[in-house]
Amino acid sequence: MDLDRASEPSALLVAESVRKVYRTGAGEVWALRDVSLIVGEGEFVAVMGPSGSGKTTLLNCLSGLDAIDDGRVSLAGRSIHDLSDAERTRERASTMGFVFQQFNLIPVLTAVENVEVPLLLAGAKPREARQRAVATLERVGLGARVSHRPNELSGGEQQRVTIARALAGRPSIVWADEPTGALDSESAGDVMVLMNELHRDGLTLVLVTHDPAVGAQAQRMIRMRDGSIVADEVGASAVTNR
Amino acid sequence: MTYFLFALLAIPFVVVLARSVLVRRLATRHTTRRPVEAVLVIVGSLLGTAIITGSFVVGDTITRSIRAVAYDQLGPIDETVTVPVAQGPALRDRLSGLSSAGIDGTLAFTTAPAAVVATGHDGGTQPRAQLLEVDFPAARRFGGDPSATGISGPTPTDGRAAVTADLADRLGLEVGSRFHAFAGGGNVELTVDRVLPRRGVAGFWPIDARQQSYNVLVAPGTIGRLVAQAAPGTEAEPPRQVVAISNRGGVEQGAANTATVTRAVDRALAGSGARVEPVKQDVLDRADKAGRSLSQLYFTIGMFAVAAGILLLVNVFVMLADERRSELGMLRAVGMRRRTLVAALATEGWIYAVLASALGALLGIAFGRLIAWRADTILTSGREVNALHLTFEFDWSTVFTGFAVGLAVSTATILLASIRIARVNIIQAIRDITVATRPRPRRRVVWLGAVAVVLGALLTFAGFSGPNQYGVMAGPMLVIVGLAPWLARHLPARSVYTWVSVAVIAWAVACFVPLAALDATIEIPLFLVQGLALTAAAVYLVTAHLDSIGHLLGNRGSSLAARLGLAYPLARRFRTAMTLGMFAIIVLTLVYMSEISFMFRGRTDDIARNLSGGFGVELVSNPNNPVSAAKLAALPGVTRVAPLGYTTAEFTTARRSRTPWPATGIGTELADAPPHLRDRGGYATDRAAWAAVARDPNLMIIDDFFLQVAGGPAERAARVGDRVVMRDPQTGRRRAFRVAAIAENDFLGSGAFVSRVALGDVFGDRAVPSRFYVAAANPDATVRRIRADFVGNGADADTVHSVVATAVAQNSAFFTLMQQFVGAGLLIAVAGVGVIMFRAVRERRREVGVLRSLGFQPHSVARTFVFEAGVVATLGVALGVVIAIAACYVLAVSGADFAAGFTFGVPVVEIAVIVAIALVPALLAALLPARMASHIEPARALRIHD
Repeated sequence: MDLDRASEPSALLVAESVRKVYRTGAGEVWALRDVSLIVGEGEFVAVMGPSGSGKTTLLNCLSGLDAIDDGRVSLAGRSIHDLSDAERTRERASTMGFVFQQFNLIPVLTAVENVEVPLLLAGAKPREARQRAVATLERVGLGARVSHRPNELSGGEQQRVTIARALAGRPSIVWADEPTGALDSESAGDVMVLMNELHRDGLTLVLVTHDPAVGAQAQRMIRMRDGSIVADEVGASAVTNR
Repeated sequence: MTYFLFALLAIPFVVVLARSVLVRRLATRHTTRRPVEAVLVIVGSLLGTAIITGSFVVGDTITRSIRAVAYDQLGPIDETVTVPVAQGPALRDRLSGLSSAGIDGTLAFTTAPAAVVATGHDGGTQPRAQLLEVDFPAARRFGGDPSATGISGPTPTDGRAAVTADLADRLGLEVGSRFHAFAGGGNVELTVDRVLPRRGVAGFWPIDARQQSYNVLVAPGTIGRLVAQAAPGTEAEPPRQVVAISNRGGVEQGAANTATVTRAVDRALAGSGARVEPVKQDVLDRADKAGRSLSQLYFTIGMFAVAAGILLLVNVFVMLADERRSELGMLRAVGMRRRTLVAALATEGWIYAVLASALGALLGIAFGRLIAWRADTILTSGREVNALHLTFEFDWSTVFTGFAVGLAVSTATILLASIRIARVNIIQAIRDITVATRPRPRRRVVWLGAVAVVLGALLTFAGFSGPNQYGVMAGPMLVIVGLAPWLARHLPARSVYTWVSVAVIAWAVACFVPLAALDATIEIPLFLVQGLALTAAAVYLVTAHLDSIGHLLGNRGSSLAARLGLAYPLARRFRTAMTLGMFAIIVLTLVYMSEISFMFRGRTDDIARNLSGGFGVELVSNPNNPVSAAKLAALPGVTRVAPLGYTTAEFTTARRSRTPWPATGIGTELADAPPHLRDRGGYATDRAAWAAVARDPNLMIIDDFFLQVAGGPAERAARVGDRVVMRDPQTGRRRAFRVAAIAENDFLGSGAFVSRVALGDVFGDRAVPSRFYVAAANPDATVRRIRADFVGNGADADTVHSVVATAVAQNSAFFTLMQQFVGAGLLIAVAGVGVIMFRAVRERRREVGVLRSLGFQPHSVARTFVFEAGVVATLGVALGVVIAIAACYVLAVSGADFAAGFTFGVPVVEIAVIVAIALVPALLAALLPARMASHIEPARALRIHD
């Protein structure tokens, strides 16, 4: 792993020798073994690997959702695991966006209200939050569905709401964990088109998937096995784009 | 204080709702999302507040009903000074010059206890009545409000009398009716001149504590002429001259000046041997004390139902957390801080709590009304002298207090539950994966356990050295529970917690044995501590071993519906535990009370035998014209007579301030056939103890309920060896006594037993023997004979057995009333079952869809849900029944004072009724959700996301 890139001005995320161990009654399970990684600003990285390879754990540890046992993760120069829980929570609210396989929308809120959540948490004024949320929903093609509740939207639409929610706070980086896992192929295609558009607009994206077709659309592809990065290669889309 | 509490509970939530758009949205939208469940949650929660408010409203009613005495029997009279008639002029002289800013005026009148017999063949009798000579115009002017005096018209002339409405009703008198009044050894026939209300001066009744006033207001000189007819040398209490003092202000407001006026009057009376009695203040104090005491009793008993309400709230919140797990995880992931999440959850719960508490407070008024109605029936079912007519009345401030207390309990529960729920593991929540249980307790839990061990050890030491009932019970339990986390780090956790639960149950049940050995006081709240500890430990035990129980049940009921019905309680152990707890704690309380009541009822003969000693008849006569002991002894079948002095004294002990209470003066006759003593002190036999008290004017026998104004097992005012001061309220003369022994109880209303000499020393001629214990071959026949032969002496006789049976029946009725009060808590448990089953239907739509698609019939689906509710409710009910019976068994054999003489038995029918009352509604509550589940369409259910 070329950690010299960490000093490059474009390095947004730097992970150094990250270890994660799960302790169970039966013993210890190494989920991440000395993983080091750099993600540059504006990169679209896909993390791939078989089940149990540590992809989601990597995403959780890099985003600060989960604690690490050793190593260091810096986002824009700030070591996120040295922060308190409250500070880390603030950091997530202000600099990160999340897209999950399960849409995890709040059923009692409308689409626009769901998108407003991170904005309000980050301290935006209600009117400003509403304007940005509507604009973001229009951006993901849901301008006509702003007042609908999640149970009135299709799976693809719900996932687009979660993408809008992730984007609304204008994050430095968006983490997506199997964003197409719960969608049919047509909806999955639509979501990936949207992801690519966002990337082209300069958004940094880290996407976890086990689907080669999805991973192939990334600019860079990291392959994992047994908690270690076994390959870090240029993605098919990057090759195509060249 | 209440308003401060409310502000504390309301302002933070209102501020959060006003300032945070997100919290407001989450809290309000979720509240209205599931209306049926919201209604069930509110219904379940409001009952706790209703029970709290109900107990307060009962207190208000008791207070107001006793305070009514201030209007009915005192009116403008705030203080009195009472002396023998001969000293009347001197007293009036002393008080005529009395000047105090707080005094409105004084009024002198003469009184004498009397017996009244209506003229005619079927004329009734009233053995306890009072002759009252007062100048009517002066009485009307007294206090400045004629309507408050109850007096109207001119002073009756010779041969005529005004009677109070109570007496007229009792004897069927009306204007023009004729009757005989017996007093002071003579009698006079009088004609009813007018009927006066029981109010103020007309209602003045210092004879005893009854609410009725059987007054005969006669012409001046009437009492003197009656007393003059007494045979020379007759021992009788002479008539008294009363000077009543009215303070400035209305009936209740005037009492505020009592301290000032009492000081001024005492100065004026210095050296006269007379004392001023703050009669109005005493009534108001007694009212407040009785109201507070009964309110606390119901409040404590009601806490069992409140505990069930708390479990319901916790359960509801845990279910909400289950439903919104991924939502909570997402909110934390996108940057919601834990405290904001706590605020959102708690605010949502607070909205429920405000609604539930407001409705609960209003329902509490109805609860209070119902209890007051039933209590009135019970309280008026015994002897009239002890009866209390209740007039339902309450203050809105009390209702608001109930609302605030209910809201405080709910809010605290919700806040703690929210804090716990907000500690969500973000990743596990988002991915909706099962949280792995920690194999060993965290280190900080071990430290907390260590703190509990130290606290428990201190409590245990304080408990056994005090003795202190709570220390004895809770201390060792705290030590055991505190050790559990440390043990669980080194030994298999489930085994550790199992044995800890067994140990807690064992100690909670068995601690009455050491409590009895230590002679510790046992109060009602101790049963609350016991009940909560037993329920918590037993519920843990059953929940931890549910798989074994399920295996056992599963083998018996082999249908698929039954197996599925068992599977979910096994899988969702926390909510199963909460529901078990709700049922167990209420059923435990109900069965416990049934057991105590049953064992107590079984003691009626025993108590009557113990109280009577060798005397089967009790007789009270007019102290102004008492029955002669010699004439009693001469009645056919009478074998022995014990004459007793009897009056109302004031007592003070190290634990009780001045309290009016009866005093009985005994001679050695009682020792010849002694009543049973619970604690003989250092004496070898009951006879020796009674004989010692009869001979030694410094000794006293009291009972466990001595100076206890109202409700529950006694907080003892004194023990063997303690010093008790007895005082004559009229003269201030006092005497100190040492408690020689303890009698079992005081159903006969004897109060403290001292020697007749000691009673005479303090009360002078008012200690004349007017009460008698009579031994007779045929007590019932003797009672009839006494009532017939000594009507002029105001003889009121009864068999001891009948007095005891009435009192036991009253006690039993009170137990039933308390059961009905706590039984309302079953509605909480039933609502809990309803909430869980509705939630279960929602959670399992897909599973039901799968089952239906596989060929499961709709009725089988319904049966699964009903079976599940039935299993949980039955387990909870069984748990309550078993631990209550076990606890009562140990209580019965412990030798504790409270359970002295109990023979263990099981009221099978009563318990069967309780079980049915608990189970049938629980199954009914499951029917609607079960029906909903059976109507789920497979095709739709399988496509449902939310």
